Amino acid sequence: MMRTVLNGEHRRLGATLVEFAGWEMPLSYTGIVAEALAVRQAAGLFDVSHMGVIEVRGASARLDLERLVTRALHDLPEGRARYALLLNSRGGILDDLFVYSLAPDCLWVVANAANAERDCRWIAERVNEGVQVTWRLGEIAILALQGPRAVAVATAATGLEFAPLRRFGFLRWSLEGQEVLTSRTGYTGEDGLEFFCPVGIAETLWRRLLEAGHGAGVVPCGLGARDVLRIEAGNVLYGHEINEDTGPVEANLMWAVDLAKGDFIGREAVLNACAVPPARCLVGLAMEERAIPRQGAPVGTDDAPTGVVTSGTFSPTLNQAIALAYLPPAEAVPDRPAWIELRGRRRQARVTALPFIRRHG
Amino acid sequence: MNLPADAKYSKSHEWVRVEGDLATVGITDYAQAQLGEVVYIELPQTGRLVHQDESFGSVESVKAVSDLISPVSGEIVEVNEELVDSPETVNEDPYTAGWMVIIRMDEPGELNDLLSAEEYQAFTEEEG
Repeated sequence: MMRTVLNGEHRRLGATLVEFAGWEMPLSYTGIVAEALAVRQAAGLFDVSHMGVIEVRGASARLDLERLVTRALHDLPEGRARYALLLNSRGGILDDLFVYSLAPDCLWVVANAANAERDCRWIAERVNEGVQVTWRLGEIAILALQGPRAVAVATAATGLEFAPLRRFGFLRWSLEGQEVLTSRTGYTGEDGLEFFCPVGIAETLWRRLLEAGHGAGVVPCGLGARDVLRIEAGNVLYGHEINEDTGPVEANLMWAVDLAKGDFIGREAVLNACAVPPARCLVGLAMEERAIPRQGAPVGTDDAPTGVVTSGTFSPTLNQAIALAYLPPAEAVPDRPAWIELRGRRRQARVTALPFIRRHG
Repeated sequence: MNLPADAKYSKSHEWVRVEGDLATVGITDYAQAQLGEVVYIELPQTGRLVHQDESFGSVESVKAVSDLISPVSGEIVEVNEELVDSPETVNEDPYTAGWMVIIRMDEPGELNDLLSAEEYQAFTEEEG
Protein backbone atom coordinates (compact mmCIF):
# COMPACT_ATOMS: atom_id res chain seq x y z
CA MET A 1 0.00 0.00 0.00
CA MET A 2 1.31 3.47 -0.88
CA ARG A 3 1.50 6.23 1.72
CA THR A 4 1.38 9.96 1.16
CA VAL A 5 4.11 12.11 2.66
CA LEU A 6 1.58 13.24 5.30
CA ASN A 7 0.96 9.71 6.62
CA GLY A 8 2.92 10.46 9.79
CA GLU A 9 0.80 13.57 10.42
CA HIS A 10 -2.39 11.53 10.06
CA ARG A 11 -1.15 8.99 12.58
CA ARG A 12 -0.05 11.71 14.98
CA LEU A 13 -3.54 13.22 14.74
CA GLY A 14 -5.10 9.83 15.56
CA ALA A 15 -6.75 9.27 12.19
CA THR A 16 -8.54 6.05 11.31
CA LEU A 17 -6.66 4.91 8.22
CA VAL A 18 -8.17 2.89 5.38
CA GLU A 19 -7.09 1.56 2.01
CA PHE A 20 -8.32 3.63 -0.93
CA ALA A 21 -7.22 2.96 -4.53
CA GLY A 22 -3.96 1.40 -3.33
CA TRP A 23 -3.22 4.18 -0.83
CA GLU A 24 -3.40 4.24 2.96
CA MET A 25 -5.55 7.32 3.58
CA PRO A 26 -7.30 8.91 6.57
CA LEU A 27 -10.99 8.00 6.69
CA SER A 28 -11.60 10.40 9.58
CA TYR A 29 -9.90 11.99 12.57
CA THR A 30 -12.69 12.75 15.02
CA GLY A 31 -15.78 11.68 13.07
CA ILE A 32 -17.10 11.83 9.53
CA VAL A 33 -20.24 13.80 10.44
CA ALA A 34 -18.38 16.36 12.57
CA GLU A 35 -15.76 16.88 9.88
CA ALA A 36 -18.35 17.33 7.11
CA LEU A 37 -20.17 19.92 9.22
CA ALA A 38 -16.92 21.76 9.94
CA VAL A 39 -16.36 22.18 6.19
CA ARG A 40 -19.85 23.62 5.69
CA GLN A 41 -19.54 25.96 8.67
CA ALA A 42 -15.83 26.88 8.80
CA ALA A 43 -13.29 24.88 6.79
CA GLY A 44 -11.51 21.54 6.68
CA LEU A 45 -8.07 20.46 5.54
CA PHE A 46 -7.77 17.30 3.45
CA ASP A 47 -4.73 15.37 2.27
CA VAL A 48 -5.56 14.37 -1.30
CA SER A 49 -2.02 13.54 -2.37
CA HIS A 50 -3.21 10.18 -3.64
CA MET A 51 -4.56 11.97 -6.71
CA GLY A 52 -2.28 11.69 -9.71
CA VAL A 53 -0.48 14.68 -11.22
CA ILE A 54 0.43 13.92 -14.84
CA GLU A 55 2.64 16.48 -16.53
CA VAL A 56 2.27 16.85 -20.30
CA ARG A 57 5.10 18.92 -21.73
CA GLY A 58 6.26 19.76 -25.23
CA ALA A 59 5.60 22.01 -28.22
CA SER A 60 2.41 20.19 -29.25
CA ALA A 61 1.35 19.15 -25.72
CA ARG A 62 -1.65 21.45 -25.59
CA LEU A 63 -3.15 20.53 -28.96
CA ASP A 64 -2.36 16.84 -28.51
CA LEU A 65 -4.11 16.77 -25.16
CA GLU A 66 -7.04 18.75 -26.53
CA ARG A 67 -7.76 15.82 -28.89
CA LEU A 68 -8.05 13.49 -25.89
CA VAL A 69 -10.32 15.45 -23.56
CA THR A 70 -13.84 16.89 -23.81
CA ARG A 71 -12.97 20.57 -23.28
CA ALA A 72 -10.98 23.08 -25.29
CA LEU A 73 -7.43 23.70 -24.10
CA HIS A 74 -6.08 26.01 -26.83
CA ASP A 75 -7.88 28.93 -25.16
CA LEU A 76 -7.12 27.95 -21.56
CA PRO A 77 -5.01 30.83 -20.23
CA GLU A 78 -1.93 30.25 -18.14
CA GLY A 79 -2.96 30.25 -14.51
CA ARG A 80 -6.32 28.61 -15.06
CA ALA A 81 -7.67 25.08 -14.68
CA ARG A 82 -10.59 23.40 -16.42
CA TYR A 83 -12.63 20.30 -15.61
CA ALA A 84 -12.76 17.79 -18.46
CA LEU A 85 -13.45 14.15 -19.21
CA LEU A 86 -11.20 11.57 -20.81
CA LEU A 87 -13.38 9.36 -23.03
CA ASN A 88 -12.81 6.13 -24.91
CA SER A 89 -13.95 5.83 -28.52
CA ARG A 90 -17.32 4.45 -27.37
CA GLY A 91 -17.91 7.66 -25.43
CA GLY A 92 -17.40 5.90 -22.08
CA ILE A 93 -15.68 7.85 -19.32
CA LEU A 94 -12.10 6.74 -18.64
CA ASP A 95 -11.65 9.44 -16.01
CA ASP A 96 -12.69 12.91 -14.96
CA LEU A 97 -9.84 15.37 -14.64
CA PHE A 98 -8.71 18.88 -13.96
CA VAL A 99 -6.32 20.26 -16.57
CA TYR A 100 -4.03 23.05 -15.32
CA SER A 101 -2.37 25.40 -17.79
CA LEU A 102 1.11 26.13 -16.40
CA ALA A 103 2.78 27.38 -19.58
CA PRO A 104 2.03 27.33 -23.32
CA ASP A 105 3.92 24.03 -23.57
CA CYS A 106 3.17 22.60 -20.10
CA LEU A 107 -0.07 21.26 -18.65
CA TRP A 108 -0.91 19.27 -15.57
CA VAL A 109 -3.62 16.67 -15.64
CA VAL A 110 -4.95 15.91 -12.16
CA ALA A 111 -6.44 12.43 -12.20
CA ASN A 112 -8.26 10.08 -9.86
CA ALA A 113 -5.84 7.93 -7.84
CA ALA A 114 -7.22 4.67 -9.20
CA ASN A 115 -6.82 5.83 -12.81
CA ALA A 116 -3.58 7.83 -12.79
CA GLU A 117 -1.37 5.07 -14.16
CA ARG A 118 -3.79 4.15 -16.95
CA ASP A 119 -4.48 7.80 -17.83
CA CYS A 120 -0.74 8.42 -18.08
CA ARG A 121 -0.29 5.49 -20.44
CA TRP A 122 -3.41 6.44 -22.46
CA ILE A 123 -2.12 9.98 -22.96
CA ALA A 124 1.52 8.96 -23.59
CA GLU A 125 0.45 6.55 -26.35
CA ARG A 126 -1.54 9.28 -28.13
CA VAL A 127 0.65 12.38 -28.14
CA ASN A 128 3.15 13.35 -30.81
CA GLU A 129 6.83 12.54 -30.52
CA GLY A 130 8.65 15.11 -28.46
CA VAL A 131 5.84 15.47 -25.92
CA GLN A 132 6.77 14.09 -22.52
CA VAL A 133 4.04 12.60 -20.34
CA THR A 134 5.11 12.02 -16.75
CA TRP A 135 3.10 10.79 -13.76
CA ARG A 136 4.79 12.72 -10.95
CA LEU A 137 4.17 9.99 -8.40
CA GLY A 138 5.75 10.65 -5.04
CA GLU A 139 6.90 14.16 -5.95
CA ILE A 140 3.88 16.35 -5.28
CA ALA A 141 1.59 16.57 -2.27
CA ILE A 142 -1.94 17.96 -2.63
CA LEU A 143 -3.73 19.67 0.27
CA ALA A 144 -7.33 20.80 -0.06
CA LEU A 145 -8.56 23.55 2.27
CA GLN A 146 -12.32 23.73 1.81
CA GLY A 147 -15.07 25.78 3.39
CA PRO A 148 -16.31 29.36 3.75
CA ARG A 149 -13.27 30.34 5.86
CA ALA A 150 -10.69 28.62 3.62
CA VAL A 151 -9.48 31.73 1.80
CA ALA A 152 -9.12 33.84 4.93
CA VAL A 153 -7.27 31.04 6.75
CA ALA A 154 -4.92 30.50 3.81
CA THR A 155 -4.11 34.20 3.84
CA ALA A 156 -3.46 34.13 7.57
CA ALA A 157 -1.18 31.11 7.13
CA THR A 158 0.86 32.45 4.21
CA GLY A 159 0.51 36.23 4.14
CA LEU A 160 -0.70 35.95 0.53
CA GLU A 161 -3.96 37.30 -0.85
CA PHE A 162 -6.04 34.47 -2.28
CA ALA A 163 -9.34 36.38 -2.34
CA PRO A 164 -8.72 37.93 -5.81
CA LEU A 165 -8.18 34.44 -7.25
CA ARG A 166 -11.16 33.50 -9.41
CA ARG A 167 -12.81 30.09 -9.34
CA PHE A 168 -10.56 27.66 -11.29
CA GLY A 169 -7.72 30.20 -11.31
CA PHE A 170 -4.38 29.44 -9.70
CA LEU A 171 -1.25 31.22 -8.64
CA ARG A 172 2.28 30.10 -7.88
CA TRP A 173 4.26 31.26 -4.90
CA SER A 174 7.24 30.22 -2.88
CA LEU A 175 7.49 28.50 0.49
CA GLU A 176 10.95 27.77 1.92
CA GLY A 177 12.37 28.36 -1.54
CA GLN A 178 10.09 25.83 -3.20
CA GLU A 179 7.19 26.50 -5.55
CA VAL A 180 3.61 25.97 -4.42
CA LEU A 181 0.67 26.08 -6.85
CA THR A 182 -2.63 27.16 -5.26
CA SER A 183 -5.91 26.92 -7.15
CA ARG A 184 -9.43 28.05 -6.28
CA THR A 185 -10.83 24.55 -6.79
CA GLY A 186 -12.38 21.74 -4.81
CA TYR A 187 -14.82 18.89 -4.70
CA THR A 188 -16.94 19.71 -1.67
CA GLY A 189 -19.41 22.26 -3.04
CA GLU A 190 -17.80 24.95 -0.88
CA ASP A 191 -15.40 27.74 -1.69
CA GLY A 192 -11.86 26.53 -1.22
CA LEU A 193 -8.29 26.14 -2.32
CA GLU A 194 -6.08 23.27 -3.36
CA PHE A 195 -2.33 23.43 -2.78
CA PHE A 196 0.13 21.45 -4.92
CA CYS A 197 3.58 21.44 -3.37
CA PRO A 198 6.82 19.46 -3.46
CA VAL A 199 6.61 16.65 -0.89
CA GLY A 200 9.52 18.16 1.07
CA ILE A 201 7.46 21.10 2.31
CA ALA A 202 4.08 19.36 2.58
CA GLU A 203 4.31 18.83 6.34
CA THR A 204 5.23 22.48 6.92
CA LEU A 205 2.31 23.69 4.80
CA TRP A 206 -0.14 21.21 6.41
CA ARG A 207 0.81 22.35 9.92
CA ARG A 208 0.77 26.04 9.01
CA LEU A 209 -2.75 25.81 7.56
CA LEU A 210 -4.03 23.86 10.56
CA GLU A 211 -2.44 26.24 13.06
CA ALA A 212 -3.72 29.33 11.24
CA GLY A 213 -7.20 27.82 11.13
CA HIS A 214 -7.32 26.47 14.65
CA GLY A 215 -9.19 29.43 16.16
CA ALA A 216 -11.50 29.61 13.14
CA GLY A 217 -12.79 26.06 13.56
CA VAL A 218 -10.65 24.45 10.84
CA VAL A 219 -10.13 20.73 11.39
CA PRO A 220 -8.31 17.97 9.51
CA CYS A 221 -10.81 15.97 7.45
CA GLY A 222 -10.65 12.51 5.96
CA LEU A 223 -12.01 10.80 2.89
CA GLY A 224 -15.23 9.95 4.75
CA ALA A 225 -16.21 13.62 5.04
CA ARG A 226 -15.01 14.27 1.50
CA ASP A 227 -17.43 11.63 0.24
CA VAL A 228 -20.37 13.05 2.24
CA LEU A 229 -19.64 16.57 0.96
CA ARG A 230 -19.28 15.61 -2.69
CA ILE A 231 -22.53 13.61 -2.61
CA GLU A 232 -24.34 16.58 -1.04
CA ALA A 233 -22.87 18.74 -3.82
CA GLY A 234 -23.98 16.22 -6.47
CA ASN A 235 -20.40 15.67 -7.65
CA VAL A 236 -19.72 12.37 -9.41
CA LEU A 237 -17.01 9.95 -8.31
CA TYR A 238 -15.22 7.55 -10.61
CA GLY A 239 -16.20 3.96 -9.85
CA HIS A 240 -19.57 5.11 -8.51
CA GLU A 241 -21.48 7.41 -10.89
CA ILE A 242 -19.03 7.19 -13.77
CA ASN A 243 -16.96 4.46 -15.40
CA GLU A 244 -15.99 3.21 -18.85
CA ASP A 245 -19.53 2.05 -19.55
CA THR A 246 -21.11 5.39 -18.62
CA GLY A 247 -21.23 8.37 -20.93
CA PRO A 248 -21.50 12.10 -20.20
CA VAL A 249 -25.13 12.32 -21.35
CA GLU A 250 -26.53 9.93 -18.74
CA ALA A 251 -24.08 11.18 -16.06
CA ASN A 252 -25.37 14.74 -16.44
CA LEU A 253 -21.92 15.91 -17.50
CA MET A 254 -22.64 17.50 -20.87
CA TRP A 255 -21.68 20.86 -19.35
CA ALA A 256 -18.13 19.46 -19.36
CA VAL A 257 -18.24 18.45 -23.04
CA ASP A 258 -17.48 21.00 -25.75
CA LEU A 259 -18.75 19.45 -28.99
CA ALA A 260 -17.91 22.57 -30.99
CA LYS A 261 -14.21 22.72 -30.19
CA GLY A 262 -13.04 20.21 -32.85
CA ASP A 263 -12.52 16.48 -32.87
CA PHE A 264 -11.58 14.46 -29.79
CA ILE A 265 -11.73 10.79 -28.88
CA GLY A 266 -15.31 9.85 -28.08
CA ARG A 267 -16.89 12.89 -29.77
CA GLU A 268 -18.75 10.90 -32.40
CA ALA A 269 -20.09 8.48 -29.79
CA VAL A 270 -21.32 11.40 -27.67
CA LEU A 271 -23.02 12.97 -30.71
CA ASN A 272 -24.78 9.66 -31.38
CA ALA A 273 -25.81 9.40 -27.74
CA CYS A 274 -27.26 12.93 -27.89
CA ALA A 275 -29.43 11.94 -30.86
CA VAL A 276 -31.48 9.40 -28.91
CA PRO A 277 -33.19 9.58 -25.52
CA PRO A 278 -30.87 8.22 -22.82
CA ALA A 279 -31.80 4.89 -21.19
CA ARG A 280 -31.09 6.31 -17.74
CA CYS A 281 -30.03 9.48 -16.05
CA LEU A 282 -28.41 10.50 -12.81
CA VAL A 283 -30.73 11.81 -10.10
CA GLY A 284 -30.75 12.58 -6.43
CA LEU A 285 -32.85 10.61 -3.96
CA ALA A 286 -33.72 11.89 -0.50
CA MET A 287 -34.74 9.23 2.02
CA GLU A 288 -38.00 9.59 3.88
CA GLU A 289 -37.07 6.81 6.30
CA ARG A 290 -34.16 6.42 8.66
CA ALA A 291 -31.80 4.27 6.60
CA ILE A 292 -28.72 5.06 4.54
CA PRO A 293 -28.74 3.98 0.88
CA ARG A 294 -25.66 2.03 -0.19
CA GLN A 295 -24.02 1.59 -3.60
CA GLY A 296 -25.74 -1.16 -5.61
CA ALA A 297 -29.12 -0.95 -3.86
CA PRO A 298 -32.07 -1.43 -6.28
CA VAL A 299 -34.33 1.59 -6.88
CA GLY A 300 -37.78 2.00 -8.39
CA THR A 301 -40.66 4.47 -8.51
CA ASP A 302 -43.29 1.91 -9.42
CA ASP A 303 -43.45 -1.78 -8.65
CA ALA A 304 -40.47 -3.02 -10.64
CA PRO A 305 -36.87 -2.09 -9.84
CA THR A 306 -35.68 0.20 -12.64
CA GLY A 307 -32.53 1.75 -11.27
CA VAL A 308 -29.61 1.47 -8.90
CA VAL A 309 -27.93 3.54 -6.19
CA THR A 310 -24.40 4.63 -7.12
CA SER A 311 -23.55 6.47 -3.86
CA GLY A 312 -25.37 6.98 -0.61
CA THR A 313 -24.71 8.68 2.67
CA PHE A 314 -26.17 10.56 5.60
CA SER A 315 -26.24 14.30 4.97
CA PRO A 316 -25.52 16.08 8.27
CA THR A 317 -26.50 19.41 6.71
CA LEU A 318 -29.96 18.14 5.69
CA ASN A 319 -30.17 15.72 8.63
CA GLN A 320 -31.40 13.15 6.13
CA ALA A 321 -30.01 10.21 4.21
CA ILE A 322 -29.40 10.89 0.50
CA ALA A 323 -28.27 9.03 -2.60
CA LEU A 324 -27.16 9.45 -6.17
CA ALA A 325 -28.81 6.92 -8.47
CA TYR A 326 -29.60 6.10 -12.07
CA LEU A 327 -33.25 5.96 -13.15
CA PRO A 328 -35.01 5.90 -16.53
CA PRO A 329 -35.76 9.49 -17.65
CA ALA A 330 -39.52 9.00 -17.33
CA GLU A 331 -39.05 8.26 -13.62
CA ALA A 332 -36.32 10.81 -12.96
CA VAL A 333 -38.81 13.53 -12.09
CA PRO A 334 -38.21 15.69 -9.01
CA ASP A 335 -40.63 15.02 -6.14
CA ARG A 336 -41.69 11.65 -7.57
CA PRO A 337 -41.99 9.06 -4.77
CA ALA A 338 -39.40 6.29 -5.02
CA TRP A 339 -38.17 3.33 -3.04
CA ILE A 340 -34.73 1.94 -2.33
CA GLU A 341 -34.31 -1.66 -1.31
CA LEU A 342 -32.00 -1.88 1.70
CA ARG A 343 -31.31 -5.12 3.50
CA GLY A 344 -34.34 -6.77 1.91
CA ARG A 345 -36.81 -3.95 2.65
CA ARG A 346 -38.16 -1.28 0.35
CA ARG A 347 -37.67 2.06 2.07
CA GLN A 348 -39.43 5.27 1.02
CA ALA A 349 -37.49 8.01 -0.77
CA ARG A 350 -38.19 10.87 -3.14
CA VAL A 351 -36.52 11.93 -6.40
CA THR A 352 -34.67 15.22 -5.83
CA ALA A 353 -32.99 17.72 -8.14
CA LEU A 354 -29.21 17.93 -7.85
CA PRO A 355 -27.28 19.30 -6.09
CA PHE A 356 -28.75 18.59 -2.67
CA ILE A 357 -26.89 21.57 -1.26
CA ARG A 358 -25.92 24.77 -3.01
CA ARG A 359 -23.05 26.89 -1.81
CA HIS A 360 -24.17 29.96 0.08
CA GLY A 361 -22.69 33.33 -0.76
CA MET B 1 -11.01 0.85 25.79
CA ASN B 2 -13.73 1.25 28.37
CA LEU B 3 -14.99 -2.17 29.57
CA PRO B 4 -17.05 -2.28 32.77
CA ALA B 5 -16.21 -5.39 34.79
CA ASP B 6 -19.83 -5.86 35.93
CA ALA B 7 -21.05 -6.58 32.38
CA LYS B 8 -20.83 -9.62 30.12
CA TYR B 9 -20.00 -9.39 26.45
CA SER B 10 -20.86 -11.10 23.17
CA LYS B 11 -18.60 -11.69 20.18
CA SER B 12 -21.01 -9.56 18.15
CA HIS B 13 -20.06 -6.63 20.43
CA GLU B 14 -23.10 -6.28 22.68
CA TRP B 15 -22.84 -5.90 26.44
CA VAL B 16 -25.31 -7.33 28.99
CA ARG B 17 -25.95 -6.33 32.58
CA VAL B 18 -28.16 -8.66 34.61
CA GLU B 19 -30.50 -7.92 37.50
CA GLY B 20 -32.60 -10.93 38.48
CA ASP B 21 -34.14 -12.23 35.25
CA LEU B 22 -33.76 -8.88 33.46
CA ALA B 23 -30.88 -8.36 31.02
CA THR B 24 -30.06 -4.83 29.86
CA VAL B 25 -28.34 -4.81 26.45
CA GLY B 26 -26.31 -2.24 24.52
CA ILE B 27 -23.29 -2.13 22.23
CA THR B 28 -19.72 -1.88 23.45
CA ASP B 29 -17.37 1.08 23.39
CA TYR B 30 -15.29 -0.87 20.86
CA ALA B 31 -18.33 -1.32 18.59
CA GLN B 32 -19.33 2.35 18.68
CA ALA B 33 -15.76 3.42 17.96
CA GLN B 34 -15.59 1.06 14.97
CA LEU B 35 -18.86 2.40 13.59
CA GLY B 36 -18.17 6.09 14.12
CA GLU B 37 -20.98 8.57 14.71
CA VAL B 38 -24.23 6.63 14.93
CA VAL B 39 -26.95 8.35 12.88
CA TYR B 40 -29.82 5.84 12.94
CA ILE B 41 -30.96 3.18 15.38
CA GLU B 42 -33.79 0.74 14.77
CA LEU B 43 -35.17 -0.89 17.88
CA PRO B 44 -37.93 -3.48 18.36
CA GLN B 45 -41.38 -3.04 19.92
CA THR B 46 -41.79 -4.08 23.51
CA GLY B 47 -43.41 -7.48 23.83
CA ARG B 48 -41.37 -8.99 21.03
CA LEU B 49 -39.76 -12.35 21.68
CA VAL B 50 -36.16 -12.80 20.63
CA HIS B 51 -33.87 -15.79 20.53
CA GLN B 52 -30.22 -15.79 21.43
CA ASP B 53 -28.15 -14.73 18.38
CA GLU B 54 -31.21 -13.30 16.62
CA SER B 55 -31.21 -9.75 15.23
CA PHE B 56 -33.48 -7.38 17.18
CA GLY B 57 -32.59 -4.14 15.41
CA SER B 58 -29.80 -2.25 13.72
CA VAL B 59 -27.40 0.57 14.30
CA GLU B 60 -26.16 2.66 11.40
CA SER B 61 -23.32 5.12 10.82
CA VAL B 62 -22.09 6.82 7.64
CA LYS B 63 -19.56 3.99 7.36
CA ALA B 64 -21.72 0.93 7.92
CA VAL B 65 -24.92 -0.63 9.15
CA SER B 66 -24.72 -3.34 11.75
CA ASP B 67 -27.30 -5.76 13.16
CA LEU B 68 -28.00 -5.75 16.87
CA ILE B 69 -27.73 -9.38 17.97
CA SER B 70 -29.49 -10.55 21.08
CA PRO B 71 -27.09 -12.17 23.54
CA VAL B 72 -29.97 -13.98 25.31
CA SER B 73 -33.46 -15.34 24.60
CA GLY B 74 -36.58 -13.78 26.08
CA GLU B 75 -39.15 -11.01 25.84
CA ILE B 76 -38.27 -7.38 25.12
CA VAL B 77 -39.84 -5.60 28.09
CA GLU B 78 -38.35 -2.14 27.67
CA VAL B 79 -36.84 -0.13 24.80
CA ASN B 80 -34.72 3.02 25.06
CA GLU B 81 -36.85 5.16 22.72
CA GLU B 82 -34.74 8.24 23.41
CA LEU B 83 -31.97 6.80 21.27
CA VAL B 84 -34.09 7.08 18.13
CA ASP B 85 -33.92 10.89 18.30
CA SER B 86 -30.51 11.07 20.00
CA PRO B 87 -28.46 8.28 18.43
CA GLU B 88 -25.23 10.07 19.35
CA THR B 89 -25.85 8.92 22.94
CA VAL B 90 -24.58 5.51 21.87
CA ASN B 91 -21.21 7.07 21.00
CA GLU B 92 -21.08 9.30 24.06
CA ASP B 93 -22.19 6.87 26.73
CA PRO B 94 -22.49 3.30 25.38
CA TYR B 95 -22.74 1.56 28.77
CA THR B 96 -25.21 3.78 30.63
CA ALA B 97 -27.46 6.23 28.77
CA GLY B 98 -26.82 4.28 25.55
CA TRP B 99 -28.59 1.09 26.69
CA MET B 100 -30.92 -0.27 24.03
CA VAL B 101 -33.32 -2.88 25.35
CA ILE B 102 -34.19 -4.82 28.49
CA ILE B 103 -34.94 -8.49 27.95
CA ARG B 104 -36.77 -10.75 30.43
CA MET B 105 -34.65 -13.85 30.06
CA ASP B 106 -36.16 -17.29 29.40
CA GLU B 107 -32.91 -19.16 29.78
CA PRO B 108 -30.46 -17.45 32.14
CA GLY B 109 -28.07 -20.36 31.46
CA GLU B 110 -27.30 -18.66 28.13
CA LEU B 111 -25.30 -16.07 30.07
CA ASN B 112 -22.59 -18.70 30.38
CA ASP B 113 -22.03 -18.41 26.62
CA LEU B 114 -20.92 -14.78 27.03
CA LEU B 115 -17.46 -13.37 27.65
CA SER B 116 -16.08 -11.61 30.70
CA ALA B 117 -14.57 -8.13 30.26
CA GLU B 118 -11.08 -9.65 30.12
CA GLU B 119 -12.08 -12.30 27.61
CA TYR B 120 -13.83 -9.72 25.44
CA GLN B 121 -10.80 -7.45 25.52
CA ALA B 122 -8.60 -10.31 24.34
CA PHE B 123 -11.16 -11.10 21.64
CA THR B 124 -11.18 -7.54 20.26
CA GLU B 125 -7.39 -7.42 20.29
CA GLU B 126 -7.30 -10.59 18.17
CA GLU B 127 -9.97 -9.21 15.85
CA GLY B 128 -8.43 -5.76 15.52
